[in-house]
Amino acid sequence: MKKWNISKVKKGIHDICLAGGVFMAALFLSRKVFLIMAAFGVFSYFMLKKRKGNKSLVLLCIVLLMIFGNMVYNVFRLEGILPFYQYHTQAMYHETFVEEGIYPDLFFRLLLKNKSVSVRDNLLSREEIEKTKDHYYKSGKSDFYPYYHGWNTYNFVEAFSKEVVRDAALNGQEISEEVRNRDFLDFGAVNDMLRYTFLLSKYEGEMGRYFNHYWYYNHFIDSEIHMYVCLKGLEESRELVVLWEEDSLEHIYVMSREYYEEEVEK
Amino acid sequence: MDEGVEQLLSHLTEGYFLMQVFVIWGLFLTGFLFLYIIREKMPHSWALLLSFPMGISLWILGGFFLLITGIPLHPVSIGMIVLLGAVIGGIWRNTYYHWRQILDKDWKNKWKLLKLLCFGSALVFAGSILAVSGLLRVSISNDSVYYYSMYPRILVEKGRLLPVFDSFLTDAGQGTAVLGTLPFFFGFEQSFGIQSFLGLNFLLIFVQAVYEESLKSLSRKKALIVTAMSSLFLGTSAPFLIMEKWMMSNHYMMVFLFLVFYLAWRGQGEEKKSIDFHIVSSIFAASLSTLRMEGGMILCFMILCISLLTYGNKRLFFVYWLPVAFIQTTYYMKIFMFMELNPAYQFLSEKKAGVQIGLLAVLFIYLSFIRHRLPWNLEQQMPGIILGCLALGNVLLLMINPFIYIENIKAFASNFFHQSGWGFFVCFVVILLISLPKGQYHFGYMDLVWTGYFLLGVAVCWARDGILREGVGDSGNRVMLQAVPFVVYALTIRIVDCIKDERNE
Repeated sequence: MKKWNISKVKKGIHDICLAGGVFMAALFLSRKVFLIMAAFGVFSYFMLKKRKGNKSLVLLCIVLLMIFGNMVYNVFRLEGILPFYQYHTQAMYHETFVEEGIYPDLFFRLLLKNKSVSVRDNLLSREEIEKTKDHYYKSGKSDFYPYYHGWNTYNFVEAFSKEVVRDAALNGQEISEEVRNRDFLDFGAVNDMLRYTFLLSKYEGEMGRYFNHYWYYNHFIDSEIHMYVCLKGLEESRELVVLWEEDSLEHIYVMSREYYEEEVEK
Repeated sequence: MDEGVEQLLSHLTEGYFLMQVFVIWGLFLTGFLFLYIIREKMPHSWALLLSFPMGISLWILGGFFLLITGIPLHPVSIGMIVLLGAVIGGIWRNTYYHWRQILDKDWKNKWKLLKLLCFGSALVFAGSILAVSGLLRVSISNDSVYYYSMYPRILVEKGRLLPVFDSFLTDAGQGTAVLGTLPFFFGFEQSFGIQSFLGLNFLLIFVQAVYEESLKSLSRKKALIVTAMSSLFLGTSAPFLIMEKWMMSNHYMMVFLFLVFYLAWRGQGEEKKSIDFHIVSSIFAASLSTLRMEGGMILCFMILCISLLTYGNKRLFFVYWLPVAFIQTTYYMKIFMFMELNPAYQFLSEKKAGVQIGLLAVLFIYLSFIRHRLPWNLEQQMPGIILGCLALGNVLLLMINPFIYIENIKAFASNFFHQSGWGFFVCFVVILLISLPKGQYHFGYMDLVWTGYFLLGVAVCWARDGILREGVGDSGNRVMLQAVPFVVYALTIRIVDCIKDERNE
């Protein structure tokens, strides 16, 4: 009578349980990918652990299959996990960001570099802010408004341009909707840009804090502040004009000095 | 309209391509010169491969030192610190004496270094042109734009750390921020090329590391095949590609983590022959601790793992413990005592800084009074004991706040199995772990590093005071993705053992 080899029986039961467990897990997870992986796993297990003799070739085949699997995954799935961009310029701003309306401040920073920028002259001083902040709070605009409105855009322009010129002639100047639609390109929302201007804040204490900037631009102002750029003459110009809306959302308008004098200046 | 934007961008970034290529070469040259000042026995291949990471480390450490001391951040100041370091290193290593010996030998030696430099430079130029060209795709996100571009730009503007930087001082790795100042000091816009080049350099380092290790047990042909397969597996895996292409600090963490892990392994047991590697390891470890806020914690864990190798306590203390302790302590003092920082939301708090200092103190006590003084059978079980302690630590965290712990574990599991950047990697690793014959295998340094790292990662994420989420961008997920190179390396060594055993049968 044939004698049973107990250890072989135990190993056989162990293998069957392992294979069964893997299949159960794959079924539970109910994804084709995991079923394929489970089958591949069982195949590898039996080929490597159970097989006697030369395993180098088997290992090579298994690893090649894994590399192939990686490549297939990368081609079909990677782009869906993270957006990848192929850059045709040396900027961090990609030309498709205009359509997506993202990271306009990357473009803005690059544009400001080595340029002389003219801005409004009517930003409130600290004393004026202290006197009027309660009025803004009572009118529903938040007592943060006089600290941040205009000032954060100014700080950004000051930090990243060659020089800032405060020009009283720009006070009261506005871009009409008609001109905006005709000549300006909407680069997207700048709420994030403005909230991170806490890094440039001149206020010590609460007003300079990241949390307050975050709350103001991403929660209190529950709509998007946009940046509009007129591309005409921007390439050649060494001087820019940056306007921001007053008494409303802080939409930002960027244009060359030449364009401003021709089309906007009243 | 897009054409107008692209044309404008091209105009605004004229000259940036060449600047970035030359900066990459400049970092390589700085690292090369520094390595050859301190080098005595390091093989030329390793000196060439480590030159660029060394250049990056020297820039990071020089800049970090300036930020801590309040000296204005400037390339000239950083250069002077690096020069001072090189002079001190040169005096210590008797560089003048060694170079005289080399140059006095015959005329071939005089030209050898120059040929090596030319060869290295040619490779660097070729690689950097590819890296900067835009052919390699990249990914950016909010953190890339604000933490690692806008913040470094402002550091260049202000030249020092300011209290108004608020939570950026407790959340952003200052080392990565210093690295991010390179584009703005040298007249270009982004650091895609630097990161992409480091990725290419890293792959070559990985190839060399696997080949050298395989050659110890296998024939040259088999070693080449193992190296090719292992490198291809790493290079095509989704986690590695995501880390390599995503403009974040995680890529630099991944590279320097592997360098510390591998150089510690490589440098053991050869004493005087390996001093060069020990100096390099020390500099890389110091840089690693500045790249992300959890860098110090991860390095403490790495030191514990490295203590399993055949290093003396003094060597461990001076090469690894001292640089980390110095950097962490001075930074915490700077922001919590001299700047009196107290942001509303912060990853690094005074309490956590205290815990970190406490861990460093415990590590000091272990290295000085406990290591190599335990009974022999206990010493043999140290890998298991360390892993057990990490597991116990996790259990304690579970008991302190079970909700955060369980939710984080769920998030990790979702990320692994719903492939938030992991691809098929987890499945393939599990398949290999189950399928590879055990043979002569024992649980040691290699496996402790990656298994312990995962337990540590869970603990570090628990300490964030927030719940992780499912998604490739989740910071806990990214911390785990960093471990992929040493998982692949450890598995490769297992495979080499398997093939080697087969040859002996």
